[in-house]
Order: sequence, then C-alpha cells, then structure tokens
Amino acid sequence: MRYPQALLFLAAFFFFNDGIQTVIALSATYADQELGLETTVIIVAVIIVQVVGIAGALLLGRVAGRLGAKRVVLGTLVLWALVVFIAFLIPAGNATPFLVLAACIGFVLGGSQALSRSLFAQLVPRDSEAEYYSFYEISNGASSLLGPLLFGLTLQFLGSYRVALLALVIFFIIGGVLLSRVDMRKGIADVGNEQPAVV
Amino acid sequence: MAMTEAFDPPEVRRREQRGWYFYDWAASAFSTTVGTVFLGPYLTDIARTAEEQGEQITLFGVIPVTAESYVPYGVTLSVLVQVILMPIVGAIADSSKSKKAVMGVFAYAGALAVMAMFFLQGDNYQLGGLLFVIANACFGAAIVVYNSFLPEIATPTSATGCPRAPGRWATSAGSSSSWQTSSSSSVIPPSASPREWPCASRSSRRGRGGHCGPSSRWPDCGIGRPHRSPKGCRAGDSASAALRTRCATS
Repeated sequence: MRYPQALLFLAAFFFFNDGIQTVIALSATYADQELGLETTVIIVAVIIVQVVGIAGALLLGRVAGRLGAKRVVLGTLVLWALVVFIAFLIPAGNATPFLVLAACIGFVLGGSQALSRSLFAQLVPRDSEAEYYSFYEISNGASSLLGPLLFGLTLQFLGSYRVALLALVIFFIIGGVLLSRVDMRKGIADVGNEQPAVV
Repeated sequence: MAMTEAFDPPEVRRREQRGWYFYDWAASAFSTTVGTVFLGPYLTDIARTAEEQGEQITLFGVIPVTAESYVPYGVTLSVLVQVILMPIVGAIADSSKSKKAVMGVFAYAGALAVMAMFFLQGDNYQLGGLLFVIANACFGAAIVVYNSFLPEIATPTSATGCPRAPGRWATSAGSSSSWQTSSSSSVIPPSASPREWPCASRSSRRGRGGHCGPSSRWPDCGIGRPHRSPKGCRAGDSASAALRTRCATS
C-alpha cells in the first residue's frame, strides 16, 4: 500500500477492534461462568448496551466535531481498557456493577466503531474507496481471531476467566499506541483529500 | 464501476432498500442472540457436563482443550473459516448470474444451522461447535454479498444526502464475531462539518451537467463514498437523462 498512514491506521484498528470484538463476544460467557449472573441479567445488559449505544454514538459524534475524531477514539480506547480492568475486579454475584459497566460499554461502543470508519474514510484516496474498505473489513473480520484465541489460551493455561479478560487489555494498549502515532494531517494530505477543520 | 448507472424507478428502489434494511434486522438477531448472549454460556455448560463425565474435551477430536476455553477457541475457528470463505464467496457472487441467490443460499444455510442448535443438550458439545462454525461462516459469507448490494440500491441523491444507517436501530453492539453490524452503524463524520465536505473529483468525469459547481458540496457520509446533495444538480445544467431523473427524485 502506498499510503503509510492508512496502513498504520489499519494496524491500529486491527488491534483495538480485536479487543472490542472479543470483549463483546465473550462478555456473556464471562458473566455467566465467572460472575455467576443469571441469563436475564445478561439479556438486560445487552439491551442496555444497545440503547445507550445509540445515544453514545450520536453524542460522541458531536464531541468529535469539536475535539477531533482521533482524540475521541483514543479516549474511548482508554475507557475500554478501564472497563476491562474494572470487569476484572468486579465481585461475583453482583448484578449492578455489571449493568453499569454495560452502560459504559454501550456509550463507547457505537462511537468508537463509527468514528474509526470515518477516520479511515479520510485516509483513503477518493477513487479507491472500495479497495481500501475491503482491507478495512478484512481487518474488521480478522480482528476476532487473536482476541478469543488469547482469551482461550490464557483460560486454558492459567485457569482463570478474570486473568483471561485482563489479558485483553493488551490489545487496547497496542492499538492505542499505534493510533496515537498515526499522523492524520499527513495522511489526509498524502491521498489528496480536503483537510477538515478538526481531525 | 460503470460511470453511467441506470437506477430503478423510486418505488422499486424503495422496496429494495426496505428489503435490505430488514435483512440487516434479521441478521443482527443472529449476532446478538447466538453470537453474543446465548451460545457462549450454554455451550460452555454443555462442554462442562461432558468433562464431568470424564470425557476429554477436544476441538473436533484433534486438539485437547478445557471445557471453559472451548467456546473462545470455537469463536477463533469460526472467524478463521469466515476470513477464508468471505473473499471466495465475494468472487463467486460477482461472477454469478444472481447475487441474491448466492446470498440466499448462505443465509438459509446459516439459519438451518442455528435451528439445528435445538438439538444441543446434555453433552453433545461437538455438535454445538460445528453448528456455530457453520452458522458464523454462512453469516459472514451472506454479509459480504449483502454489503455489495448497497451501491446498487442506494442512489447518490437521497433526500438527506446520505443513506441512513439501516442497521443502527437493529443493533449497534451485536458485532461479536462479524463485522457487518458494526459497519452499518455509520454516522456522518463529525469532523466534516458542512463547510468542509470535499467536492469529489470523480464528478468531473460525468461530463457537462454533472460537475461540481462552486457552491455545491458533496458530503462524505462516513462510509467512504461521496454522496451528492440535491443542490449539486442545477436546473440549468444540460444533464444526462439519468442525472435529471436522479435530481428530480431526490
């Protein structure tokens, strides 16, 4: 690929999206097996994520208009890592902290994914969007590979769900570091797109 | 992509778009229920039951794993199959006579696999793993074809200037091991305020009547494609018939 900033962004996205997808995929298993929460609680949590997610995505969109999408995405990654860390600490059997966490996840989930898409849209040359977005979607799909694998390996060899969940923080760290190194202005200039006011 | 696209009349297009929205609504049910909430805990319980009976849990009889890590490994495997299958299915669909038939085959196969999960009980965790891998792979394959319908059913001139995110009300979080639903929760990039929307260069290739005037702006709707606002079509332009129709129906 001729555009290093787009490539760097894809690498960052691969990692932090991995963390996001894995947390979503395995949160129910974690809640059921480790925290001992009932299915009804888990269902309520998922619904909370959906509802808060809509509001969160819109709100974060507005915030990104002021602060710049990249900074908002980095902020959501910090929040994600925090959520995972708190999930590691939650005592078993208590539904309320889990539902609060679900609300936090909902808040950052829609925003981080939608803003990632729009960040990438700016780094992509005008006439090759389909080609570059296919890379984006491959990254999006393949993201669910490493996360569950790491989770499963940690679970098998260390025997603890909590530690396995904590291990996912590494994805957010790597993704966040890589994303902070993406030079958005340079990337947009490279492909010849128009520079927005805040990025 | 052909520069002159013939679009269906609005009623047909609206019907197609509705069908497209409903497919996303239906497919999201899979990823939220099976992918996110139910299969994980349930399959882990079944694997645990089998383990308690003294059986060694394995991944399809090959790799020994513990009961608890069976589901995460299963997710990894299903995504691996997805990643391999999706480009192949994309190529098949592009070169087939009916993309809808290809999508239908995978959608129904996935639905049948999920229906067969009815038989998961007791200790038949292997069946659960197999069905999940099949269902997830079919889900991904169908989504590839589903996404490719978008440029065909969504015209550049819709009333709001951007095709609204159809999947957002269905789910914004049910993107467990698939990438589709997350991609449908697209919003207008907030960093591109109306004043900064770039004027797409490809418009100049449409010839007279299709060029971007100095006052028209093309909003980028966050899904990587510029969409033309109705203001970009000026009445006095000598536009092609297709362009005129598009402007008239926006």
